[in-house]
This record gives sequence, structure tokens and C-alpha cells, in this order.
Amino acid sequence: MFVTRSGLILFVFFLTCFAGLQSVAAKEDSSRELFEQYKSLILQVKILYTASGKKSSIGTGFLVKQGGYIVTNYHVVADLLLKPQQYNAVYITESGKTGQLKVVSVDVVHDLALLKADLDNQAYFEFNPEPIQKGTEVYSLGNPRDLGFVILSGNHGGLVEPSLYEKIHFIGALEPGMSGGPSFTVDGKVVGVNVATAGNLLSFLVPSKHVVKMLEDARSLPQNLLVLAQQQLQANQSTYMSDFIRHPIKTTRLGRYRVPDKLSETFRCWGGDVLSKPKPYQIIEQSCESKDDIFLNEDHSTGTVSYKHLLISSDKLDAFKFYTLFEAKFSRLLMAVEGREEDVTNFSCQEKFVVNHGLHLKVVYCARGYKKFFGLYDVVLKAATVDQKKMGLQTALLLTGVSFQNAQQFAKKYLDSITWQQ
Amino acid sequence: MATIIILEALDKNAKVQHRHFIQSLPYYVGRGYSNDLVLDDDFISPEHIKIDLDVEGNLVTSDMGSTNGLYLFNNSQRVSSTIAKTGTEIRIGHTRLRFRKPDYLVKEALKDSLHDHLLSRVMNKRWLLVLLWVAVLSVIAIDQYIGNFNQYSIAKLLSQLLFDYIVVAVWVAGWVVANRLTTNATNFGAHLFVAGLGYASLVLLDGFSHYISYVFSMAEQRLWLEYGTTLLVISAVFYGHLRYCSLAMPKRVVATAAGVSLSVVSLMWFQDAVDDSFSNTIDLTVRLKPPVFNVVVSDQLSEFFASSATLKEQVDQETTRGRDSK
Repeated sequence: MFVTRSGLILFVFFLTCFAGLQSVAAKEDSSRELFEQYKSLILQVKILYTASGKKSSIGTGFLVKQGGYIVTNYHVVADLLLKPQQYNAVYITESGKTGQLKVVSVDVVHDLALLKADLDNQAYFEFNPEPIQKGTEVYSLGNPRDLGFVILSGNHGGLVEPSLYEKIHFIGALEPGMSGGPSFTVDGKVVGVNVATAGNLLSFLVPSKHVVKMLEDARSLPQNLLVLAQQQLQANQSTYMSDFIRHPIKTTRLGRYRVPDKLSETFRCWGGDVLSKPKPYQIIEQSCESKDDIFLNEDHSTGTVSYKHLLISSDKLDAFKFYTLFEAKFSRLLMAVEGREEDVTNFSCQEKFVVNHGLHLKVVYCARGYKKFFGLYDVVLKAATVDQKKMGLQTALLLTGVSFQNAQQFAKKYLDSITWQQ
Repeated sequence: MATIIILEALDKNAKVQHRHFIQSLPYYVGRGYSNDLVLDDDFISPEHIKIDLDVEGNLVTSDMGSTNGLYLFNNSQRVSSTIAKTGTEIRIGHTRLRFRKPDYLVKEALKDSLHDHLLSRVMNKRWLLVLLWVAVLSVIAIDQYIGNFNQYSIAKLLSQLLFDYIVVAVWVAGWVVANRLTTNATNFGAHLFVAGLGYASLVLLDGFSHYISYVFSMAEQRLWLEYGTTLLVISAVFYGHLRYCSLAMPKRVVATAAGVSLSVVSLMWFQDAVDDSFSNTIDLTVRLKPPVFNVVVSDQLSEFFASSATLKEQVDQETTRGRDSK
């Protein structure tokens, strides 16, 4: 403990020494005061292998209600939820008390989980679900890399915009293991839950309004948390997919074709010519993907939309050679799909010639099902134009964690938006 | 002197072991050295039987008082004498004997196709052989030409085929050695031709199956196309090689070749059927070919997506199967 505390002071000093020498002393004081004030409201969450008792993962949790109710990240307890026979969860308080934890509720979309410990606490954290001013001083508590509890200060960076799944920018250095810890204002009101770090001084928080909502919803819950998670994933995909299906798809020019452009501001797109050395053909590539995903487990994220177009042309190759090239590129035209055997089935596909807007296409449509979240699918649409001798367009669309009907409607709309300009 | 009758000693499969032309009577058979026919059978007496004409002019075999007697073949009734006609079979001791008259009619000769078959006829026609070799090499060259979209030198293309060359060479060498062991010829030219033709056929049929797969949107069924082509080519190649290496009759060679290729294809099928391993990628090789092959009527967009209901069923089945098995 002694070592930890001196380490903490060093750490805080290190963090704050860049902020300006004058404020160092004051900040250090307030951090120390806040730490002393709130350290009893946080605990370390450890996921253990039941068979061996060894540690599988760690995170931080904080008390949100009387009766030992604790909030942490879904991703901290995901293993426990998906394979309850193999794992169990324990907590360790700042004073060293330990005990078992039970998962009470989850919000898989916003990466939150509500746990219950056998604690008889009176005090707990309160929330500030209202938006606060950018730049406001925010303090974060957690247990980075299993080194002991620390407090660190940062600034509220506002909402990450635009994004499918709302997050707050935390300008400060969250570390692995602080996941699930609270970030709060100087008056102790939680504004968000530590969720992820994207490198130096760039971290994210789940806005506390989602925690408040999870606590409210927790009163009327289905028995099975996997069913709850499935309902949340279904509802979430339904929200954004129906939005995509409702709005017209904006297109952009690619050679003499028009192809889907950025679907919305929640996408990032890139592209360019792929030419490493002089080759008898030309390839122009465009890719887009949604910026956010939903963590299901270490090897499986979901809730993404991504697509890619390739324009391949050649004036040197004859038609047969060109189509050998075209075929080879088409077979490799697929963005990586995550998942393990226990999560998803293998892909099944259908393949046909399709004519649309006078364009002749070879279309492949593939799907696989989620084993733990029935009714959700990963869907791949691949299409290649086959009506030009020495030029062709290929496109691939990957939708993860969507309903079959939504996927089908959107895939159709997506393909329909591709046209040829004389 | 004219032959009166022929006496044949048979083995247990009724094949003739030795044959004796009886030209004067009486004719004595026994183990003793004074007989006309000496048989080294411990169960035959020194003087066992006599063959002679009886008073009515019949040719008769009679027991000369032997220890173990005279029997008609497959008959346990000991006889003292029996009339000898064409086809009469007798047993003395452990020896089986059969009579045949000189006017016995034998069957026409079997047609010999061992050295006269389609392949040998092709091999004998120089111009046809050259033509076929040109075809084989053209198929390989065209396949290489179409299959390479980067601009490679001839040397690089040849080096890409090096592994294939080595496999074919080892294959041919194996058959040549086998041929020399079974017959007195190597038939190098024939084996090389069969191997070359087989290789080109594989290339051709493989390419052909790609076009079929494209035209009829059959990427899912590609395995069956593969089985079909493999079955055909392996049968043909084995038949070709075996016709030179084996002295068996054509029907047997066909059966052997078909058997070998069936077992190879069964093994392939078994391997594919057993392999249901998980993959994160789409293991579907969709073929794309030039516009001239777009001969099948295309779906409208809505038709295509309407038919995806089957796909959903398929996936849902697999999902529930995956859950139930847990």
C-alpha cells in the first residue's frame, strides 16, 4: 500500500507537471483530497478462471447504490456472462475486503454492466447526466495495470462526434485496468465511466446518462442476461439500420460508375490508386467503415458497417487475362470478419447473375448466424460487373450484428445505388 | 500311325498337365516302368489299368487288379471297366485322366487385343501423335497465358511449371520401370504421351469446370465438378498406363482403372465431408469470366434478394444445430 501510494503521488506529479508549474501544488492537493474522499467507493473487479483460480482479466468498479450495487464495463465481465461455468468474479476494496460478484444487468451497446457485491454500503457515487462544459476538470479513479488504486486528473473533451455510440473524450491518460472506473467532477458527480484508451492522453468515457438509464431499466429485466444483451443488440441495429434504409444513399464517382459514398458522418473513408510498380493494369480503391463497434468478447466485435469498391481496368491485357486478374482480386475482396467458432457459424452463400440499371453483375450474398445472440447475423454482399471486357467494378459490403431483414433491405438498396454513366 | 484316342492328365482345376496320343493297343498305365504311360502317383499300382478294344469293338478301360481300383471321376463306385469316349473322365489313385478323340472340336481362337488397342493405334500413326502432342502443349501454353496477368518472361513462366514437370517426369519413370518389370519393353513414348495427355486433360477440365461454375453460378457445387473431372482423368490415365504394363485382358484393366479412380475420389469426398472446420472467411471461390460467357438469364435485383429466404433458413439451421450440440 505504501509503495502504491508513493507511486501514485509520483504518477500524479508526472501527469500534472506539464500543466503549468503554478497549479501543480493546488491540483495535487485537490487530487489527494478527492482520492481520500472517494477511495472507499471504488473496488477492483477481477475475473478468475473457476478451475484454476487464476486471473483472467481485471477492471475497476464503483458503487452506485446502497446494497453493494457496482457499475463497471461490460467488456470487463464479458467472459463471465458468456461462459458462466468457466469464470467467476471477485471484488477487492481499497481497504482489502474481498468477496464474490454477481452480474445483475448489462448494457452491451454502451459497454456497461451492473454488478452486485455483498457489501453493506451507505455511501455511493452520484451522477451528473447533464452535458458539462468542455475543458472542465475531471478526475478518474481506477486500478491501472493491477498496481493499486490511483486518481488522475484530466479534462472533459466533450462528446466524440459524430459517432454511432456516444462517448466522451477524456483528455488524460487512462490505463488498462482503469476500465469501469468513474470519472467525476470536483464535486464528486460522475460524468462518465472509463472505457477505452486510444493512446497518449486520448481516452474515452461512457456518458453517465447511459448508466442512469441502465439503473432505471434494471427494475424490469428478463431473467437471462444473454437475452437482455440480445434485445439490446437487436434494438440498436434496428435504430441505425432503419436510418440507413430510410435515407437515400449518397454516391460518388469511381471511373464511369457511381458507387456508395460516406453513408453518414459516423463513417470514415479513404482510398486511392494502388500501383506499386509498373503493371499492365490499374486499380483504384475506395473504402469506408463505421468508426465504432460493440465489444462482445476479446475476439468478436459487432455493430459495424464497412464497404469497399475496386475499379480495375487495363488497356494492355486481353479479356481472358483481364478476367483472371478480376477473379483473383474478387476472391480477396473481403474485409476481415471477426469471431470464434463458439460465437458464429460458418458463412453460407448464394450466387447469381443480376441485372440492374443495365449493369450486368455477378452477385454473391453470404450470411452467418450468431450462436449466442440468435437473430443477429453477419452479412457480406459482394458484386462484380461482368459486362466490360477490360474494365470492371467490384464492391463488397460487410454488415455485422444485424437482423437478416435489415441486412437484406440495406444490401438491396446499396446494390441499387450503383450505376453506370455513359 | 493314326491316333486312336488321346489321354490327358488333368490337375485339380481341370487344366491339362500332359497329353498322350495313343496309337496302338493295348495301352498300359501304371507306376511300373514297363507301362506305356508311367504315372508317379504313390496310390497307383505298378500295373493299374489297360486300354483295349472289347469284343464289340468298344474302346474299354479295365482295372488290372489294382490295390485302389478304377473310378469314374466324381463317382465313389469302384468299377472294373468303363467305356472310353470323348469326355470320359476317370480317376486312378489321386490322378485324374480324361479321354478325347482326335475329332474333338475346339473353340475359335480369342481375339487378341493386348497389343492392338486405341492407344497403340494412335502411337503407330506418327502424324496423329504429333498432332495430339501439339494439342497437349497448346493447352498447357494457353492455360499459362490466360492464367498470368502480370507480364512475365518465358523463363519465369517455365520455372513456374517446374514442379509440375518434375511430378510428371517421376510419374512417367515409375511406369516405365513397372513396364520393364512386367514385359520386355519400356514403352517410354507411350507412357510419356499418356502422362502428357492426362496432365493436359486435368488443366482443360479444371478450366472447363471454372467456366461451368461461372455460367451456372455453381461455386457452391464446385466440389462435385472437381470429383467428376478427377474421376474421369484418373481412370483414363491409369487405363492408358496399364494397357502397356499389364498382360491382363482389357476388361480387367478397365475395372482396375475405374477402381483406382473411384477410391481416390472417395477419399477426396470423405476428406471434404469430414472437414467442417470453422472459418472466418468466405470459402467460396466465385469465378469471373469475360462477357461472352454471360449466357444465362440474370435475376432482377428484387428476385435475387427474394431468394435469400433459403439462405436464412440454411444459416438458422446451422445456428440452432450449433446450439443444440452444446
